[in-house]
Amino acid sequence: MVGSLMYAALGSRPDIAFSVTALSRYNVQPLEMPATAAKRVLRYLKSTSEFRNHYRRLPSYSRSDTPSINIIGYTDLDWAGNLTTRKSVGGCVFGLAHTGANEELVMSGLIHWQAKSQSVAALSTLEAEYIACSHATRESLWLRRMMKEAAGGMAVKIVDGPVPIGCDNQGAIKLITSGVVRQKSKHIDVKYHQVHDEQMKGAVKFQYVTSESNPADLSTKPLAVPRHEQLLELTGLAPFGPDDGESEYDESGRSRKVKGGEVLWQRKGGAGDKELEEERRFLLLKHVLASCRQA
Amino acid sequence: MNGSASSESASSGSTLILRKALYGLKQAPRLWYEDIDGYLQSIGFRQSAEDPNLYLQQGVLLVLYVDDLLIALNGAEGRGHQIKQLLQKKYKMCDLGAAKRFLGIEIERTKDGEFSICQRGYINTIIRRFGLMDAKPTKSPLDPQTDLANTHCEDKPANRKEYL
Repeated sequence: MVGSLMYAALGSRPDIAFSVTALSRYNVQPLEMPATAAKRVLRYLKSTSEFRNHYRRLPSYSRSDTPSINIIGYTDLDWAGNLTTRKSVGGCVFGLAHTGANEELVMSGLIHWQAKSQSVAALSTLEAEYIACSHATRESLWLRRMMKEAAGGMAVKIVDGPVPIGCDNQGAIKLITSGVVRQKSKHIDVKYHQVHDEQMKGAVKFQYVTSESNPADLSTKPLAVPRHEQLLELTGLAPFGPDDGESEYDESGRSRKVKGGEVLWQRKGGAGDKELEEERRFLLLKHVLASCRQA
Repeated sequence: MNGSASSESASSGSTLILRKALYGLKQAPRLWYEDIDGYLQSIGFRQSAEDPNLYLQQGVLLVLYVDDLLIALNGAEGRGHQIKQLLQKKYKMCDLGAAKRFLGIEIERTKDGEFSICQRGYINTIIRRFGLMDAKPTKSPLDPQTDLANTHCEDKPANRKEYL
């Protein structure tokens, strides 16, 4: 079952990437509980089987003969998310970048995503984020190189300059840009400092995004339904393309799919702050209880 | 390779040399790959350094997965047609027209050149495979309240074959 889910996660579904990573830990010794959880993932896929990655037309197509393509990435993590090993799960998503209303880059159409259990137990969120950024850097270097090679014989241009990658940890961004190693970060392994090197060389550019608007959140932890749906919206996974003529937006900006006057699917509004707050409190309590049990 | 009973001339102990790959042999996939790789390179494709399944030439991208091919063209429609003819001359293959499905991934295109990918068909197949056609749908893949990490000791083992 996990193998079947894996193909979906790799092919078009970043929303189940984390679930598959978490379930795969039990491949060595399958137990009843993860087996039930795997069935839940399938039941989720059942209700969302129509979800698709939509690739919008690049705006530069109409402007010039050789349109340019840019990519943008996001990275996030769940610090010490694995309660047994206390290792963190890092995730990154990459998509095609469009220029938004204020000349900022907006992600549209996911092209690459990853959820990965980190190989070392990180002591702080900063360290875990730094490691996640290092992974994202390596992915972006590979993506950029492959896209450049593929674009070689085509009438498109891959934009030069650093790949923007969003990260919601100010400390990690400071460490990446300054490269200054201090008391609490001096133990971080040399191999992860590659990210500082690439930032200086101009291959990547880490920038701050708020946790709320970080789509990579989707591929690092299990989430409550409101937040999950909010993130689906951010990543652009939806049961229809934005402009297929069958979808429409109601007055509050919620999208829905309509065919012949009948509402087939409707997206609920963003997460209520209250619900999110409750979820956070609950998770905190759970972590405290878990550490008491271990102590 | 030891001579099989079907060959009369082969007495026990003698060896036969196969001159061609047989379907199902251990070597067959490798020989097939060498054959198609050689042919693609002979008709002007260059194998990508980043991904060996990607072949490139001016205005043409070709993705090869065992015996499935996906061709993308940009401003080289004539050359694309030529490549398809060359391939059909050498191998028995069909041209399925504009791509709708590749390796279980459905590709949908709108009129203005935008496209989207989904795996609806594949997802329905795996739901049927595990008999969950009538199961209750959920809105999120994992419940944040189930703690997957804390099940080590007390839990019963699950059906390994089904789990993997």
